Order: sequence, then C-alpha cells, then structure tokens
Amino acid sequence: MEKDLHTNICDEHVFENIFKNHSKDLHNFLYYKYGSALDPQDKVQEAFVKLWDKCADTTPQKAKSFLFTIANNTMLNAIKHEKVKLKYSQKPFVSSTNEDPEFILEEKQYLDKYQQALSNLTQAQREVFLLNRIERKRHQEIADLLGISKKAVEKRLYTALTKLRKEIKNIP
Amino acid sequence: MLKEMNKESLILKWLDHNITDEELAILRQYPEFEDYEKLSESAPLFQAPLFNEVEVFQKVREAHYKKSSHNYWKYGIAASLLLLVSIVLLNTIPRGESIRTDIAQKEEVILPDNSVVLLNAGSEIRFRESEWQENRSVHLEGEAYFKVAKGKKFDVITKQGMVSVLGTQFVVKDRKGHFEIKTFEGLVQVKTKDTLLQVGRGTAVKLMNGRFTNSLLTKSTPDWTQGTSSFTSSPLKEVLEELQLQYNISIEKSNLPENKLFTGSFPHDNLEDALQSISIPMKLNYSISSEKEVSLGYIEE
Repeated sequence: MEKDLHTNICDEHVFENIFKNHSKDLHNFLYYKYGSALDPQDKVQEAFVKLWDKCADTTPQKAKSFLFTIANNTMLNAIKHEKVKLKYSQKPFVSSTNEDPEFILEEKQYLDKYQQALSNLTQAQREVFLLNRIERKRHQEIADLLGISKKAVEKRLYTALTKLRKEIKNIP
Repeated sequence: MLKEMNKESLILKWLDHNITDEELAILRQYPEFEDYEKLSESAPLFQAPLFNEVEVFQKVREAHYKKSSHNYWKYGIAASLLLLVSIVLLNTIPRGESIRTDIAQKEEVILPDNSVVLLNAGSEIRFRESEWQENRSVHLEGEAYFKVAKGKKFDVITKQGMVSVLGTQFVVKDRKGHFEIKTFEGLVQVKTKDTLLQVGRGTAVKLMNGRFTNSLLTKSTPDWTQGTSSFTSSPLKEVLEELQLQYNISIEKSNLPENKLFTGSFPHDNLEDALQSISIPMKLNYSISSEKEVSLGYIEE
C-alpha cells in the first residue's frame, strides 16, 4: 500500500493541521467532562505527543478518535472520582449598568445552584449538555465527537436539562 | 401522554438549534420552558477557560523532538564524539544573542537563517543561535520590522503576546501599554492572554484598552525604515514617546491633550520639521530650549 505524503501524520505540517483542527475541541471536551482540577491542557499535550509518536501507525481519519480515546484514558487514570466544579465567569452575562443589589444577589445565588447542579450531573450528561449549550454543537456533531449514537446524545441532553431544572428549583 | 411526547421532541429540536418560530411559540406556553431558556442563556458563563493553542503546540513539538533524539541511543558513540566537539564550540560561541538599539539609533540584524530584523530606536531582541535550527523564536522589547526567510514557524515573543509568522514581512510594536502588529506581506498569527487572531497582508491591529482594533495599511513598508514615523488615530502621548525615542530629547509638556488622536507622520532627521508636523494639526506651540530640551503647549481657543 502506498502512502500519500500529504496524509502522513509524521509530516509536521499535516500534524500541525490536525492539531489546529482538534486541540481546542479536545480541551473543551475534557474540561466540561472533568473540570479543571486535573489540568485538561496538560492531557491535550500528552495525547498529541503520543499521536506523533505513533504517527506511522495511524491515519488522519483515525487521528481524532485516537486523540479523544487517549486523552480520556489519561484523565481516567489521574482521576479519583472527584466532584467536578466548573467555574463560572464573574462578570454578569447581561451587562446592564444599573442593576439593583437584590437582583445581583439573586443572580449570584442562581449561579451557585447552577454550578452545584452541574457538578451533580453524570460526566456523560454534563459533557453533552455543555458541548451543546456552550459550544453550540448540534446533536449529530456531538455524536460524532464522542462516538455514540445521536439518539444517545438526545437522551442524555434531555435528562440533563430536566435534572438541572429540578435541582435548581428544588423539585423532587 | 401524546402531549408529553410532543413536548420532548420539540425541546430536542430547540436544543438542536433547529426549531421554527411557530414551534418555539408552542414551547413558550409550557411554564417550565422559561426555566430551560434561562438555563440555556446562563450556560455560557461556564465556558471552558481559554485554550492556549500556541503554547501547547510548542510544548508538543519540544517533547516530540526531545524524544526522537532519545530513540537514536544506538548512535551513542557518534553522539559522544559530537558532544566533545560541541562542548568546545559552546565555549566559544555565546549561547544567547542579544542586540539592542539606543535612543535615536536603528540597526539591521541578520538572523542565522538570513531573516532580516530592522530594530527601531530603543528596542532589543534576543534569540538563541544554537537552537535556531529547531526553534526560530525571538524575544522583542520595543519595535522591529521582520523580513522572515522561508522555513518553519517563526515566533516573536513579547510581554503582551506572541506573534507567529505564517508568512513573511511584518512589524511588531510592544511599547509601554501599547501593542501593535502590521503585516506587510503574508499572514501573521497573534496570541495574547485572551485573544487569538490572524493579521493578513495590508492590515494592522492595535491593542488599546484591552481591545483589538483593525486598520488598513497604505504603504508597502513601515515608514520608520524609510526615516519617518507615521501614525493613524494614535493618542498624542504615544506620538510624543516615539518622538523622544527618535531624537533623544526630553519634552516639557504643559496642558497637553495627551489622549487626542493624531494622524500623520514626522521625519527622523530634522527636529524642527518633526515638531511642526505634530504641532500644526494638533494646535500646539513648541519651542526648542536647548539641544536636548523641547517644550510643548496647547493653544487655547
């Protein structure tokens, strides 16, 4: 079998392209799933170093799933079932200039509850929900990214949404 | 039951960014949908922290090349011979090269790969000659014009951000509280703490108050390499700082509108002309008190 030069990952330009196409997605996926305690940026780095080591044995088409699997496994090895806490940004999202203090306090309480509820989701639910709502990815894209069916994505997404609402509103 | 099914499928359409206005109107009749919309609106507050693509790629490269040299352990004998040679060489060649210009001085530097750097007054670059093959990176303080030879990635590292070359000719200016990149040819990538952007041929970007603004370039090389400095909508303060750098003068300022914007240029070889070029459009008066001192004032209307 002949190898096309332009599709050989060992070539630095091809490798750099793969890096540009997937590194940010991989990082955000790890962050949404595992939080920041175990340094997702570090795991992205490790996964790409491994990909380069094994560049002769894999193709650009398989690179993405290779990267996601490796990074996910590295993370699992490091993890000890810690609760994931995602930081929310400090500045108010809707920036109106004269919000009254009571409203600000309510917002703060809402976000605290939201943060707690997110950490109570399962990893599978949280990653799907945040990739969909923050990264604005469509169901099929998420399915491709994680290697699961679209149906499974939708099931997790819907459960996550209803669970978040119930927990924040204290509905049993 | 049928209604529940319908609601769930509509919510899924909404989540998939694929819902019509009519369907959305139906969903809004459900009381809980308001909660879902709020959840959705607030979700971006949990956005992942910025991923530093440039830095991570750099580390991946370093790790990779370090490792691949480990793989050649069987050439150990040859390597130790090389080591002897290189120890001798290292003692004679300085490891880090550093070139700086004083006030009112410009300098042309040729890098190991024949890339050319023109340093403007009061600037400094540092680079590692010994590592140049693997790592084309230059530390810059001040302002410089780069003509980059073809090859691998070329990085300019400054305090306010990192500029990576995807093409060839550009200016980086990193002065006190002021960061500016002008691309004359090719494509350049700029990375700061919280932004990643590309600056294409014929454009300039400037970081002011934490925000980048774009403008178009009108010339094919920077003016200061031709003996003038030019500005587009730059605060007077910045223009005067450049004037001080080019002429090594101190300026006594009285009542100057330092944030007023100046568009224009001044020459580097005649202080009187330079002062006029700035004073007339900005409605200032000036006097040259001695060779090294100038005073500037604002003409009240």
